[in-house]
Amino acid sequence: MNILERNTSPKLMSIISILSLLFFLPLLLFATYQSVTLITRAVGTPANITVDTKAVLEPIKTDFYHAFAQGGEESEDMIGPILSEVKGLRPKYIRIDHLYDRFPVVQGAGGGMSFDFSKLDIAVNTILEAGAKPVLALSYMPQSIAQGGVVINPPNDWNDWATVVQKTIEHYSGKDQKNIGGIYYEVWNEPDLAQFGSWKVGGPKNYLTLYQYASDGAKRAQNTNWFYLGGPATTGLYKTWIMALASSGYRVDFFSWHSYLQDPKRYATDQTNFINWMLPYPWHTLKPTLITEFGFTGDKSTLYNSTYAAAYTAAVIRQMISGSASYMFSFELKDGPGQSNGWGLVGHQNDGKKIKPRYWVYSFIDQMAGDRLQVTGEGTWVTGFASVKEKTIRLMLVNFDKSGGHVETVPVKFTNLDPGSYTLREHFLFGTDTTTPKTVSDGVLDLKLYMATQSIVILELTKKD
Amino acid sequence: MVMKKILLLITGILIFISVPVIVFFVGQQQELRSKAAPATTLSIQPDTASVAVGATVSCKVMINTAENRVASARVSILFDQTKFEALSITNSTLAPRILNQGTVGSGTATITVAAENTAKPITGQGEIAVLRLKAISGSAGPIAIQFAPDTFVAGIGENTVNVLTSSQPGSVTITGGSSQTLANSTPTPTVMPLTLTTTPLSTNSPEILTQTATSSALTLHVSAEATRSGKPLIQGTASASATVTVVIHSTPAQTTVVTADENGNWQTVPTTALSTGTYTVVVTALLPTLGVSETLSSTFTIGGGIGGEDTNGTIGDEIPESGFIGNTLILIFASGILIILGILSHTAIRI
Repeated sequence: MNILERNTSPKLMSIISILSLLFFLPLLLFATYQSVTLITRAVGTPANITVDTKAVLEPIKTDFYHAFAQGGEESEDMIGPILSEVKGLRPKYIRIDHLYDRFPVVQGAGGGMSFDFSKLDIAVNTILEAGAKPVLALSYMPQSIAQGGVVINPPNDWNDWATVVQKTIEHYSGKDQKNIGGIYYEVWNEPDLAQFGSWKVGGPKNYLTLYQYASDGAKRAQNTNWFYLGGPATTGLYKTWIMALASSGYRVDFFSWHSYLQDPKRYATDQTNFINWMLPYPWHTLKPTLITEFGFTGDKSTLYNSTYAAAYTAAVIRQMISGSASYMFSFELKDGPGQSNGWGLVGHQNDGKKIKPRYWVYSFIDQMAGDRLQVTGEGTWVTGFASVKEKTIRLMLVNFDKSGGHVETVPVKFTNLDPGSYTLREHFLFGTDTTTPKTVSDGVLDLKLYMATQSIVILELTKKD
Repeated sequence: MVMKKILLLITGILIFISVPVIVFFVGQQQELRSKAAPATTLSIQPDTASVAVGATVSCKVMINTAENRVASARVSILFDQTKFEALSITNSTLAPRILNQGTVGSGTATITVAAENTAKPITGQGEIAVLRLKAISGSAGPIAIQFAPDTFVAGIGENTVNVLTSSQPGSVTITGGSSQTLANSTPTPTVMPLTLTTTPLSTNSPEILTQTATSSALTLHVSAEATRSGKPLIQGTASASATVTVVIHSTPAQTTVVTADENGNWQTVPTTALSTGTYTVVVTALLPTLGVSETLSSTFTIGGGIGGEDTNGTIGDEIPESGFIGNTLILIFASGILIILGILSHTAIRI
């Protein structure tokens, strides 16, 4: 006990303590709120959404994200065992790579070269059965023609590589063979990656040479349906690679790249950059662009098993809902065997074919088909878009926080509504689905919407007759 | 009989001569088509209009390709951010594809639109985009809605890729008070031959410079005392109600558009704080009523290494309805523990 305590009565001490508590508690609360303010101000802006229900923009496309890629973890048709699950995704295109190293297509070299597509046909047939068309990444170098027998090396004779491409195209696009129209043939997969050869634009291991002979092979292909030949399928959108291919003079029917970007807004930036680069080549601006793999990380991650991946995908689709790439391929359809942290939308069959949250995003967003409506007030984390179809106005909002944990109560306002009675459906993917009646008298409907972390919602406003 | 032979011979000779002549002229026509000079123009409609504060105005971006065949067009529009708020920009019928989604910002709106494919290029006259603006404050005169210098129209098979030769801005007068929308108003078109001119950038200017254009009302001054904040005050004078476009050549370039008041005064600050370094600022004043423009440029230096953040910025009182709940809980939990420890300590002392 100090001298102050000894000379102060216990009653007075209690009163002082209570007064101190009363004084400091509001200060504590104030400091807490200020901390929250500082944190949020430092990193972003909350959303304040307004949908002008009479400001109609362009029609919304819902096909570009119905594209999927499958890696080559197994030397067999990986999609077959999950065919019914894949059908549920209503895929337009499915991409596969490792054509020549996982499937024994090519034997021999030079004049003694022979081809056996029977095992690869099984994988392609599964893609067709799923209702999709194949995107075939012409990869990697068949061992029998590769320098040193290494499948990421150039061939001993470039003409052999041209022949491999020619025979592949004739087999799948040939009118008297598999007779499939509209196939995309992509020259190699991630050529810039060490794992796939560390190809460069120029030098002794030149991607443009690889592409040139693929182009020669495509030119030699006879009696085929229309097909697309393109590349460079790099790990990101790289100007050097794109410009080199654009100015090469070889046949280029489409441009492709991969995007593993944490920030969904970078997808729109990439698209803008690509078009700005291509403006000096006007004919190229009109060619298809394919993001043949995308995700928030190229590494395996347990987040691919969670709603994080679902929210990320929805946030990316929002960024690309206008002026998108022709197709963007979610990587990948199925986990490899024994992967507990794989990229798959569906777990491996040995692991019970578990459906992961990302799987459900595509059909959920399909509900947004219609004409796009003007939306203002998107924030750093909560973004979205709106549409109108017949009598129903829809607003999709996604709260994606790349760091995780962000929550937000979002003011939402629908303006320029016709007065009358409406039903409002509030449908959270992986959450509640409620319908409430609403009356609009002055053309405006105001709402507050709590968005939990990594949540996706569609608000559906339908006028009653 | 002889006459008949002569006639046949003459006919044969005529055919013999006419075939290469026709081929030559057809070739000439094709040559002319394939080498058509850039002749595409862009304009904004309505070219003059009136709109009330609070109402929205739809500005149509019109194209006339003349002899050109257009693949794609990057439409970049500037307007006075103190007079208008951009709501949206999208494509229109003549340009069925959007290559880059419409983005709107403070005083700017951009979209890249395109033809369906190379077999169906954009040709003729029509609407390729539409910009919706909301009037946010009244104006004494017409406010220009103009094309930015990076607007680009990509032609197919022409000698020059950018086939854009000229662009004509629109102008809108904002009336105060009422909530009338433009749909209810009838714009009166007038002919305004406007051109946007640029002058070579001055590289010999002092760090903080005041410039006056010869025989004109345009002046430019960068406020020295404000440069340490990274957001120097850029101000000057122009003709009353002139639309003043200010381009700061930073990375990326920052463009703002303001309207001179009735006394000709105008001012602006960079939207993003500038880091330490020397910058060039180019100012263009456009007088819609007279159809003339004038340009000034200057350089200034940001010193002190404070760039990147607005050090004069203040934190508002309102609490945003967002936050990291985890951080909040941690703070509350830690504070609660401290309070409990305080009470326990006090109790222990009393015991």
